[in-house]
Amino acid sequence: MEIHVERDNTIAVVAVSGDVDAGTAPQLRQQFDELLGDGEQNFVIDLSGVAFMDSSGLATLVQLFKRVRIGHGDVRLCGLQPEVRRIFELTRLDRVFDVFPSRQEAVASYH
Amino acid sequence: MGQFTEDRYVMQSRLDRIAEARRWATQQARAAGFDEDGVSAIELALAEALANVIEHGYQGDENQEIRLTLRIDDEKLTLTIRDFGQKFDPQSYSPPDLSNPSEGGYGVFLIHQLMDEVIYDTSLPQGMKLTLVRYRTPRGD
Repeated sequence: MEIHVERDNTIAVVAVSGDVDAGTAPQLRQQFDELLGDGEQNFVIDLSGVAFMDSSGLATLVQLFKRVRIGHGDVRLCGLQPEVRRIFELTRLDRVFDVFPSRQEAVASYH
Repeated sequence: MGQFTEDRYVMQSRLDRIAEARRWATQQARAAGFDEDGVSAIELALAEALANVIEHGYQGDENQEIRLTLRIDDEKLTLTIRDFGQKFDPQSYSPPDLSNPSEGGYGVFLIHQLMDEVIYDTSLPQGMKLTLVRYRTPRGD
């Protein structure tokens, strides 16, 4: 799994590629911890490079979501591939997160 | 019963070995003609089951063994996961409240959503055996 972080004004854009599973999710959680420690509150998570995600990945995203909501921040997702979209639908987390087709649309939704 | 294929796979109880086990199962499911929906369901269910065995059954001990068996016939794919750790009590499981996002508890729920049959054998003297079945065509329950 690879993680690339960019900042767009007050938004942290986190592009993830590879598999997000029980073996790699801790690395993603650590990255989120660092960004939260830097004061980031508004996130776009670009999952277009993720073909596989398990419940560890979901848990990591829900944890981030709950933490930023305390400070009225948000976590918005984009680029969900069919296999990843299915796990969000099965757990109904597609109703919790705002999901956008593209990174540009997700970033623009904050403005 | 017509023809079937059966393959075995033994893995160490490490989270970073799950990806390889997933590939082992999905390659065979795909080669046997399962559609992508079925293949991805099998892949995710296996990943969740293995993570549970490693994190809960073996409580993170990376030096234990997990034995997998994959049997494919004309009708279905049957995956068994044998471990020698602490038993999971299926009676203790309650599905997550999907109206309230949770930071955990989706793993077993997903296994049940994705597979047609989920059978826990906790009668073994040590550890347990989980059997996951996915039919080639959706079952009309």
